[in-house]
Amino acid sequence: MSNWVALLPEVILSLAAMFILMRDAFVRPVQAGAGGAAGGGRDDRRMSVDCLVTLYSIAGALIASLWLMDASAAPDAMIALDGFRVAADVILLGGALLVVSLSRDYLDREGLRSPEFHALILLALVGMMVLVAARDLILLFVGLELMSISVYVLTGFVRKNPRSSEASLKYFIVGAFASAFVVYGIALLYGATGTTRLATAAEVIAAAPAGGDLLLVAGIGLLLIGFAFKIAAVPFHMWAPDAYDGAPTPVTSFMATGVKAAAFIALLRVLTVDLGGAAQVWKGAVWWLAILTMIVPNLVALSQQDVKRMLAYSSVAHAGYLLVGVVAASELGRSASLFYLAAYTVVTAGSFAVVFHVAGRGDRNQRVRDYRGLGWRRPVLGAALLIFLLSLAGFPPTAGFVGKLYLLRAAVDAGETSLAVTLVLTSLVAYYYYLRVVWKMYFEAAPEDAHTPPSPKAGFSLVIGTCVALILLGGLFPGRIIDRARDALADAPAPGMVVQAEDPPSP
Amino acid sequence: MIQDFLFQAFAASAILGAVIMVTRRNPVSAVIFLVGVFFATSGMFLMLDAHYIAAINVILYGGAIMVLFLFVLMLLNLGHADWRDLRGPVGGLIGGSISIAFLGVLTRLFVGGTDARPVVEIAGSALREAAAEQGVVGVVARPLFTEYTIVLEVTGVLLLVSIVGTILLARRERT
Repeated sequence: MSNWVALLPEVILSLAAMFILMRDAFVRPVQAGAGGAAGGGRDDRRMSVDCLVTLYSIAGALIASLWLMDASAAPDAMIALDGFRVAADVILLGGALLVVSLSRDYLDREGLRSPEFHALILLALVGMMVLVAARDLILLFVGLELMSISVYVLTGFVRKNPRSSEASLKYFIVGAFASAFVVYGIALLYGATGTTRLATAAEVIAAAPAGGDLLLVAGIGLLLIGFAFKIAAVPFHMWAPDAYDGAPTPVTSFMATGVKAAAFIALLRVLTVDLGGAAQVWKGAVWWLAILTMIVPNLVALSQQDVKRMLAYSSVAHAGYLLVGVVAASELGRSASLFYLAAYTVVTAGSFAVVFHVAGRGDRNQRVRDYRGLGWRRPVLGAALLIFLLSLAGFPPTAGFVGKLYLLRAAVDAGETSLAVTLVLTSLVAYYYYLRVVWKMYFEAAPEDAHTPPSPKAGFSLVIGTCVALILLGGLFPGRIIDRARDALADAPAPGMVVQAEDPPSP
Repeated sequence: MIQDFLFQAFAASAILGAVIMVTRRNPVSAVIFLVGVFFATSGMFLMLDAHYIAAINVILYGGAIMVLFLFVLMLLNLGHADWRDLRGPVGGLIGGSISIAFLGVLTRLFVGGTDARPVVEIAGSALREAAAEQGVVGVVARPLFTEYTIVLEVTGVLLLVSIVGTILLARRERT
């Protein structure tokens, strides 16, 4: 039975999701017309309980993951149990914690009271954690599907809004298409190596003569295409701006942090660790993906007038920066990618939250010109958004800067100078559209009839403040985090996957 | 020998059926060809001595699921053959060339593969031994509940999500 302890974080989350779903079935629904105020009050109470259960269970899973840090599993086990998994879980769970705690106000405002929201977030998290921990291709696929299907539903959650439904349908069709690529790739990899266990497959590939097997090449290619769809790398990104734009903003934030992070971490591990022996097969393709994903979305984002859509393109561009770490394929590349991902997760959760807060009921005010004078009308919100945008752009006192520097060093060390140059140049291009928002916030006066967003509630401000603090800490004291990572790295068991990320963003 | 020949024949008809299926305009005839693909696949499983999988494949996919598909298509009255293809000729060209490239890969593997032993022999002999020991169902059931339990459990959660999601998206709005 002790083997099941390795799944403790996932079990905690699943049980919480079941609890929320069962509670909905047994708590009497509010009767229509039985007095709106009283009914609303009961709905509010139920929402609060659901939200608390979700937050506590995620925190519990986080503690369980950290507790598993010292454990280790057999190398051919189905579920990994090492520093890499703990680091990935910390990023995913921390991101979800931020997203869920920030989305409370949005759900209240838009009247989205279905308990399924929290249950689906939890189950999607289970899928993500299975995806990043899977050491077997079948389990990897099931985790990927669990995550994807939950998020398709979350995207279409606001059924009254046709754009939400459209986004959900698009995401579903493209996502199912991508899954087909992944599963076909897995089948061909099984054909090439005779096993679905990633550790065993790595041995088979290492033993085989380099680069000859057609089946292996086709399998890796299909797997790569499928994952490129999931992390929205150019040219497989067409769905992303529409899906991100149409989804309710907290879900967009969850997609941009959790889904992208999980798919990316799984790709990072499978490619650089397990298929590292076949690097000559995938390296060129990932190089091109990285270059295109850095250039195209940054140029498109320049002309966006809608802040949410601009952030969607920016999130696509960040996938390109992350892919640089994959091409570097070194210890440094892996830890750089994870550090960048952690910083990106915190920033993205925070910036989308500010965007939906400013947008107001029905998401009416999310164009760039609605931000005129925001920095003076709501100084705290403005300052927070300023820090987030600076971190996304990669300015010095933030974690985003350290992450980019770290990625650059990984790229240069691996001899990928052209990637490093592209990273710097595209980041410079990105300054324009990030700083345009800053300019509007501080240097343009608001028109007389401008909508001033309500001052945020205490809980919301607290979480936003935590995000800001984490970003500044990561930017000012990166040495501490890196040193701690080295310490933890020393007693990480399995060679080849000894990577640690920064501390959990725990509110 | 005859097994090997039958396997190849089933495989060829499965591929042919799949190609015809995706090129049909009329959804109903596409579904009918899909049923054919499922039967051909079951035949392949049968030639590999995977009797249980073959039977389940026919009963579940060929039978239950496809009947549901047909019902839905006919209820929604989607069977209009005169609908235009959304993608232009460019999409068809790209899709077609990728398909042909993959067909080429598969052909090369079968014709000029390094391993000359026929597929039927490799898979079949291992399965036959296991089946003699554990029974036809045991070959599937034992790994499912021992080695792959985690996958089974996660699949259960996946089905739960699908059900919850379907109900959430399809139910009448609460007033």
